[in-house]
Amino acid sequence: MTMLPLEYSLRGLTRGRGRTLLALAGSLVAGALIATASAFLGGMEAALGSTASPSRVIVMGAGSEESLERSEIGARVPGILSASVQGIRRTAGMEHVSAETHVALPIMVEGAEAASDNGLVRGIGPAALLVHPVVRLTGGRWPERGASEIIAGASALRRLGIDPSTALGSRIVLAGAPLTIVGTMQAPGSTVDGEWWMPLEDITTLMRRETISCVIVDLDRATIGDVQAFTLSRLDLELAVLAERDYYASLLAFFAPVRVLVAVVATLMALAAALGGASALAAAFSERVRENAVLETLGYPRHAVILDVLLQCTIVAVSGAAVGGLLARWLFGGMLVEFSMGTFVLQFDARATLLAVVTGFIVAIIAAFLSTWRWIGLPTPEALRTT
Amino acid sequence: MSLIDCRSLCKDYQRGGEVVHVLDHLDLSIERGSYTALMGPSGSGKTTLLNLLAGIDRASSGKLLVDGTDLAQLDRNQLAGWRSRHVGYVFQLYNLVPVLSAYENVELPLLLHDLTAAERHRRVVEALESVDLADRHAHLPRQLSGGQEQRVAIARALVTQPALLLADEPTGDLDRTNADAVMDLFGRLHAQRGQTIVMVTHDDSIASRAERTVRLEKGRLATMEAAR
Repeated sequence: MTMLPLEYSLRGLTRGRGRTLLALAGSLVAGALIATASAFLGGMEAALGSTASPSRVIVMGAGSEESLERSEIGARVPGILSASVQGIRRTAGMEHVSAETHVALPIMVEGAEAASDNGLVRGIGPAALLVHPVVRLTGGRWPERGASEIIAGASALRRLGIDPSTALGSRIVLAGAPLTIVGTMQAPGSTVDGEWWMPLEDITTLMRRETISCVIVDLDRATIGDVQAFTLSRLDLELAVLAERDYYASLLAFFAPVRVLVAVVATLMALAAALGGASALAAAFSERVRENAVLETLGYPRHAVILDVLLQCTIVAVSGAAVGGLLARWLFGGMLVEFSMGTFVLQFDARATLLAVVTGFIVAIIAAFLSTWRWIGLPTPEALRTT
Repeated sequence: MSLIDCRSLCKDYQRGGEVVHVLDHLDLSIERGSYTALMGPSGSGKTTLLNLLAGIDRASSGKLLVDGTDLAQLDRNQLAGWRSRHVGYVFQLYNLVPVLSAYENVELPLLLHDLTAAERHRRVVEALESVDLADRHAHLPRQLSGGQEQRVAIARALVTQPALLLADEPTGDLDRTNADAVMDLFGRLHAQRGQTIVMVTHDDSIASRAERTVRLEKGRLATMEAAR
């Protein structure tokens, strides 16, 4: 295919530097916005997706399937469930049955009560790590019952302004009760990374409740049908069972409006920036109607001239958008976003970069179209007469 | 032998609701190796005829054969390809690409041809030498005088060794000294190479440099005179 030399295209960009820079800036902003929106959506999806496992089920109060924080079941349910369902996974004689309480509570650093935050607190027992294998204790130790102790995920600590590396021994106040951080944990990409964990009995006492929120069960030979049979046979316990994956999928669906809003707002803002960049490029190129006609007169087919314009627009717009994507990653990478299920980290992955680059390419196509449509519409003799 | 053969050539434009007959059943033959000046008042159709000969405009009716090719049978891209092989075009306002050096501007049409880099280089150097600009290879258009720019444009038109050199008022933007230099160059090309040249001009003294002058009036052939 006939093409103008790449070097000539690059040199063509040195004309009208102001407009080229303006186009670069527009593409940069568009790329940064799209990459950040993608990182937001990707981070939320990853947090909810990686928290779930296909072999785990959640037994909760009937009617509370949409939120474990609203769920209440009897404290004796885990024992009855263990005795009734055969085929639950077992490690070193311990069944993977974790009785848990999930509550959202105001939390603050002791002595800095003005700066309070809402944290997701999970009351757990000895089997918690069996059903949450993604969690790693990275420092300190497990909290002891009755000793006013708590452990925290790295994201939860950062949200409260505590450096995870120096968190051990720090004091926080949870629902008015002072607690000592005795351990730090990590669950990268999972909502658990933004949680606070303390002994089940302690949170039960603190909350003055006699119930727990749910039982998380890791199934081996048993199926969810077996657990459903149990819940149906014990209607007196008022239980419901959901596959953990379905529960988090429903949460993701619950947040769909937020995700759509983020995507739409980011797209609209990016579109405005992109159109600004595209129109700056188009203004630079529309001055070249006569030059395009001259190239055609010299024998260059139209598609070669259009491809040259597209190439120049692509160089500016894609490089601008890619730099925007990288800049957003540098500025916002690792940033924690709080939502009702805890926190998640903005995920600047390959998709975010690719979307930034695609945004740049869209800007380039719009710019190339705007740049050449006037020339395309003009007969060559008229195009040669333009100034 | 005719290089150009126009038979009942018409070109009409719509202007508002009115049809303007810019060329009106024009019959004209131009011999290979001839040097022709096209003259006539504004609106007589001389630039339109030049554009039709270059294949950058299309006739409304009639027949136009250039070097044996019926231009009406070619689509726009085919015309571009045909032009790159058969026509060199010199504009009044030079129309050099401002970011390219004199050498690169001259090389531009050659990039469409299947030539080795060495052959391309040889031809560009030769073309620039033929217009006495061997020492201006690296100069950008803005670093050249108007006359020099036009000579680069002529080198660009000649570098593909076209059968037909078309020039639309090539001296129209030049002072007398530079205009004479360009006309001397055209004369030399015609005399030494037998280059077929068709040139539009308003200037009688410029036209007198050609072998013959074709005058158009209202889109028709008015007179055809040999040079004095």
